[in-house]
Amino acid sequence: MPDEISPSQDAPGGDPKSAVAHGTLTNVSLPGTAFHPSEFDVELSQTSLAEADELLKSTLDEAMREVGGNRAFLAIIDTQDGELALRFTAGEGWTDGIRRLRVNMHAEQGADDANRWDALSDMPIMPRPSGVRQGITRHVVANGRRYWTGDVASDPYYIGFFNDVRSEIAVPITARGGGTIGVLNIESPQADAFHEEHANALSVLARRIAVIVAMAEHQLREEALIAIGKDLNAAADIDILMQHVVEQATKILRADDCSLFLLDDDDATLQLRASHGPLHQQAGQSAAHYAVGEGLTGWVALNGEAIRVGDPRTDGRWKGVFMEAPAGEIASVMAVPVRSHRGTSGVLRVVRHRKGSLYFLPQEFTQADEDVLVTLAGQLAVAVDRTRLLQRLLNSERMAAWGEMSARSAHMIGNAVFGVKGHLNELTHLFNAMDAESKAETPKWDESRFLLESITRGIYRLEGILGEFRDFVLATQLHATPHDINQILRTVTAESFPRHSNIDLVLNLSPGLCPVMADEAKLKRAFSELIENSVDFQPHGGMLTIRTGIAEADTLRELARGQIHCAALQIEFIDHGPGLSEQDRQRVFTPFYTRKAKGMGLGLSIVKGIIEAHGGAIREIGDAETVLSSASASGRVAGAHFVVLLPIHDEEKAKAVQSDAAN
Amino acid sequence: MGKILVADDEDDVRLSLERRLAREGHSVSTAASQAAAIQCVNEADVAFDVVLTDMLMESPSSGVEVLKATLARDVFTEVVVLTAYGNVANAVECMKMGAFDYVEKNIPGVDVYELICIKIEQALDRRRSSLSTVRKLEQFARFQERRVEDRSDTKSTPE
Repeated sequence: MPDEISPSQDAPGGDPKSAVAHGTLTNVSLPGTAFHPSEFDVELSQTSLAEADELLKSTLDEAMREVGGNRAFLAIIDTQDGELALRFTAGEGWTDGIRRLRVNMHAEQGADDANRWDALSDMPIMPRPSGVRQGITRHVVANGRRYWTGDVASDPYYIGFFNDVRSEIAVPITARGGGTIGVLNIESPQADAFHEEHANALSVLARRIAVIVAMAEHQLREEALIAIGKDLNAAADIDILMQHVVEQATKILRADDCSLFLLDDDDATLQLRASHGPLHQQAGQSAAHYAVGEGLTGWVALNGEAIRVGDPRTDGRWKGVFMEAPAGEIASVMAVPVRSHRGTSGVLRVVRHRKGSLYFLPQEFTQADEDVLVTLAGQLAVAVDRTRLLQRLLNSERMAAWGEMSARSAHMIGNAVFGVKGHLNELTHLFNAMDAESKAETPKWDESRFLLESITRGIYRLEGILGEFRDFVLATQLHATPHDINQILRTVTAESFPRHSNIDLVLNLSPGLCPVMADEAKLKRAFSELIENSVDFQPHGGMLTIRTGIAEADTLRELARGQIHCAALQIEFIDHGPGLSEQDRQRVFTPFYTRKAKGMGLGLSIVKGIIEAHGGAIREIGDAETVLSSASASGRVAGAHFVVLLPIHDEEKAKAVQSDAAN
Repeated sequence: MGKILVADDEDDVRLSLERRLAREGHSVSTAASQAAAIQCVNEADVAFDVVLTDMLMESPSSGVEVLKATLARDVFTEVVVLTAYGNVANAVECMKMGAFDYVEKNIPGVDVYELICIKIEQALDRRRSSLSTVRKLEQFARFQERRVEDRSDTKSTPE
């Protein structure tokens, strides 16, 4: 390798004698885009880039001619590695080796090794000034101001590629947001070749270059968004898909991190579902959540509007609950709502870190950035909706299969148990029929007799478990016909409420309630479970009040949580038992949860299953009497308070019955 | 005391029901399927007093088919249907079509065999009472016929 390159030497990269500039934006990490086109599975069309390349080359030529230089280059910051790269060159003597030169913009100013062009290993080492010169190009980028020198040899900043250079002029290329994204640099072998008018002329061209680069960026973003959209449509696993989106958003928006929060099923909390950076480990954990309205992210979910802020600490809404980086290191935050057909379903947010070394790049997110994030959020919303729908479909199919299998198993086990029970009955009969003489002759009669009784008890227990299991499985299979709910309650209390008990039963049934579509046997099962429950928890006596009426709109809204969209009957079971703790209240309807010694703990989950199969809802509200204003009259009691809501589908009939009742 | 057919595809159920009902003093036949039960009903020299049939054998409505065949053979044969616990819809259908009653097989905590024996006694009572009513009606009809004949005899007798 030669120690220096003579300007007359032929360079492999192009004909030095031709004035045509050389270079391309392909594979550049543009400041606004921060990704390489090659990172996408889908091939981006190169036409938009080729167009930009041509424009930039001709602009560079124009610039060189305008100011009368013999060489020119355009260096653009590669935001992936923070290096200033020579993208386009014009004039004589350029080699591919020189074009591969980079200057590291991340490096701290003043450090020795920062003051050089980082050469690739096979590069000819150019005459490099000793000392602390940092290079004109780097100086201009760092300061964002134009610079020219008429005598490079004595210039404190100059680091050169070529020996014949005497004068050099450099103007920054400034992005719309105000940051410097590159440098336009012209050299001349003449001393004192450049002056202010040259700088002015070049500034005009630098603005044009900025526009061309922005256009290329814009096109790249657009194509990347389309590519991501295609990816999203192909992704089947929601978690992979969400992670994919945050990764891509981080890249496209030149952000340092991106996180996705989705509302959980009850729409009350935002769960962290995916993140590019350190929060990634917490994704999917229930602990990582915001309440709707809490912090910036919660605000976005609550208001359905996007936000862009600088240092989040300066914003009153900021809570700093989950952060991608320590608060002091976050330079800017942008968050947009993820909107699906049912409203806001989550929040997608990106952050940029405060970086000392890249301070010249714009840190604030722009409207264009917001548009990109909104587009991504939109694509994500569609994908999330679709995946949820698919999941629900798969789940319901699987549940249907489980239900079918459970019902069949229960039936077969029931038949077998029934047969065994018959045999045991006959065996018991034989034992009982034996006279004293036969008993004496039968070896170990007493022992056998004891075993028989144990087996019989076991079989009866098995049958009990089976019954509970079958009720659970069959809870949702209804044969609904119109029924008077008061009549069902009268029957069920007559059947299920113990005849001799020190618990007072108060039936407070509003007359003239319209009929509801109900499976009588199932509803009776549900109500009797609630009654038995109440009786079991008041062993030393007490009171059970059963009340019916039309649910008020407030009650419906608060308790049905969007599950009932029409008028509803309200059936309450209020007792003077110990009531439920907040913890019990959360879990009382979940299967296998029991506070009783016997049974599988399916009782209240069966009740819930039956009520929900009727399109209704059930809640335990304890002494939250404020919900039901009418209840306050009866005084506050700490016992359990179950509220069942059953929809009245036939509104016409509902009104008719009500007016009948009034007459 | 009664002539009873037990139809159930579960061997254990058939065996223990046969044993129990025989112990109660009944004469018991068994059939292991809907088809066998219908054949039994049709080929019996004397119609059964009570048919005790499982609802679900070859098909979910086997009990209904056995019921139909039984009533076609002798409208006064009583039919008791066995159902799985909690599956009452079909049984109610049978009741509408003339079954005497239905019994759920796995009622928690209940000795269903005892219940079946009671139902069968009740069914036998009803059959006896039905048959006796029919006999009385026949006697009454014959009596009426005779009176009509006597009267016409008297009338046709020339003075």
